Amino acid sequence: MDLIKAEDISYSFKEYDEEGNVTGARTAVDHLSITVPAGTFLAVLGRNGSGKSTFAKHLNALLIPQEGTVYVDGIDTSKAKDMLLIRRNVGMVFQNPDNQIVSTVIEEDVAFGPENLGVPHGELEDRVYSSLEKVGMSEYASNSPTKLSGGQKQRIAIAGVLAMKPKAVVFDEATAMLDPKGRREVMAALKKLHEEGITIIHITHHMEEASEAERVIIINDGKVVMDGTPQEVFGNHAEAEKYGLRAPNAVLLRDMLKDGGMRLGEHIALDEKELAMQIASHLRGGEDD
Amino acid sequence: MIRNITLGQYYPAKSRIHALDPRVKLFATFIFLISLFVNDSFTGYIFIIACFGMVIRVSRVPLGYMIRGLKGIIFIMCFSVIINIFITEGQVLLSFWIFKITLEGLIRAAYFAIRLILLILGSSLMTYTTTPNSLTDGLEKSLGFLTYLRVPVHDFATMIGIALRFIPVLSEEADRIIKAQEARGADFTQGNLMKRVKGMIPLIIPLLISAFRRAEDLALALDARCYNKEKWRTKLHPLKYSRADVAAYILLLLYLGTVIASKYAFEYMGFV
Ligand SMILES: Nc1ncnc2c1ncn2[C@@H]1O[C@H](COP(=O)(O)OP(=O)(O)O)[C@@H](O)[C@H]1O
Ligand SMILES: [Mg+2]
Repeated sequence: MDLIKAEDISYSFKEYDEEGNVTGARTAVDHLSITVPAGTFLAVLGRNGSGKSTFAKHLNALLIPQEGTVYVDGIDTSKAKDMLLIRRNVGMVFQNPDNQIVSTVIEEDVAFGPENLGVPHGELEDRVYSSLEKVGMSEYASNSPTKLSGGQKQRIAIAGVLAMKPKAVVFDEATAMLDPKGRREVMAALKKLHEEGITIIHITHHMEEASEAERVIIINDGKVVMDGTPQEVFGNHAEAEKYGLRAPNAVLLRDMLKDGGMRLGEHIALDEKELAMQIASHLRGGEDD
Repeated sequence: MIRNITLGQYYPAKSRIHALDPRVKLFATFIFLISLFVNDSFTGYIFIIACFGMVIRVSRVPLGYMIRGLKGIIFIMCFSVIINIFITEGQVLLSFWIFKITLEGLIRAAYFAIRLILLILGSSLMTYTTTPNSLTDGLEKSLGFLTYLRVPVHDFATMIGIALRFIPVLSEEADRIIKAQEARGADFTQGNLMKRVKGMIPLIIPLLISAFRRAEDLALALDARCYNKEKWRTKLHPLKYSRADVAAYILLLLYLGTVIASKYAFEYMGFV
């Protein structure tokens, strides 16, 4: 079943001059269509300003398409009466770790979403502490978020979303401001949610993160321009480069080796380790896969 | 330098006062304030100070710590005491040029000073013994009835909560900007007042820009986490009265009753 279905959606921002007069419109999402089956781990790539965030905001009714329709779990996002249901079903983790924590106490921050939804008290406690447990932050429950690292703050934000029991979580460049350690922590939490059956939509600039997804799309000028498995998308890196992206190093190296005459199998290795195994087996003799 | 701002300063300790429900403490502050304005006799002040002294003892907030909090009002207090001394008519004790000091003036000034000091100490005892968070909760609950007059009480409580959350974030950011600007030769500490105010501009502008950007992000985050106007909202740690809270309410009413009764008793007996 398709959890998310966008049908030919468009959204443009008005542009203003210094006096505040409308001078034009900038199309951020341009007749975009996509369906995301429940349980998918989808990575979204594209250069800055290509419309990824604008697209993401359509998935939980933060924006309503000016043309076309978005369905979340079969519900049209433009129906105002279902807005809270949609936002509960599709949680969102943003880029800046500080700007999405609303409370001075971690457990109260995690409780913020379910409190707004009126979850009864006993269940509320269960949800808060089990969400903190899932992201490995239980021991900090009654602390202030101020002293945490970026990765820890993002995990709190993830716990806050989890406490709403979402069907999907959108990560809008949630790893972009983190150091490598923080990124690993967030990716670990993200994969754990995916294993539990939650649909993941991960917007990122890191190809290694995208290559862990089941499906990758590239957005350019508000349209989906490439869509497939990481192997399919990165395998065609000549095209991906047109959209300002650079395939993972392993893919580029594999192509160089092939150009240099090494006969590697059809399988496209996405990381160095996988490629090294391929080369090793090639060198050992013959059978290429 | 900006870190020194302490808002809603809290003195962490384990005491019965700390453990009281914030609504009780808000009510207590209100009752204390009324008692100060009702009372106008010397014996009354002795009673009030004795009661207040006991509360301070129980709260385990050191007296020195409390008195330090008065520093900020010394100027305003001296000013009003002097005004009170000179403008009150009555039995003249001393006079020079156009000034007269009267007995009534001295008494009024003394009462005024005592009232002001107790007022400040009383309300600071509340902030010393209540975390900003539970103070906000207490205010939201106590003022909940205003919702019926269409006052967005919960929105205000959320705003205060978010402000408390972002004070350390912004002050850290201010420190960062100061260091960056100082590295480029800006000086925030020297020159006359005008120069120093001007010197703050390279701090204020980037801080404001960043605060607005944060506010925009935060608005999205609130929406994404289902912030709404419905009344069904629940709480992770709902306020609940304990027996101690009930006892405190009774004591407070007894206290106010005593202050009011003694005022009329004294008047009846002819002393004031
Ligand atoms: N609030 C806004 N007001 C005006 N223009 C905007 C706004 N948000 C985004 N845009 C414009 O829409 C386009 C897409 O932006 P965005 O969706 O943020 O891209 P991405 O997330 O891929 O970097 C950009 O050209 C951007 O300038
Ligand atoms: Mg973006």
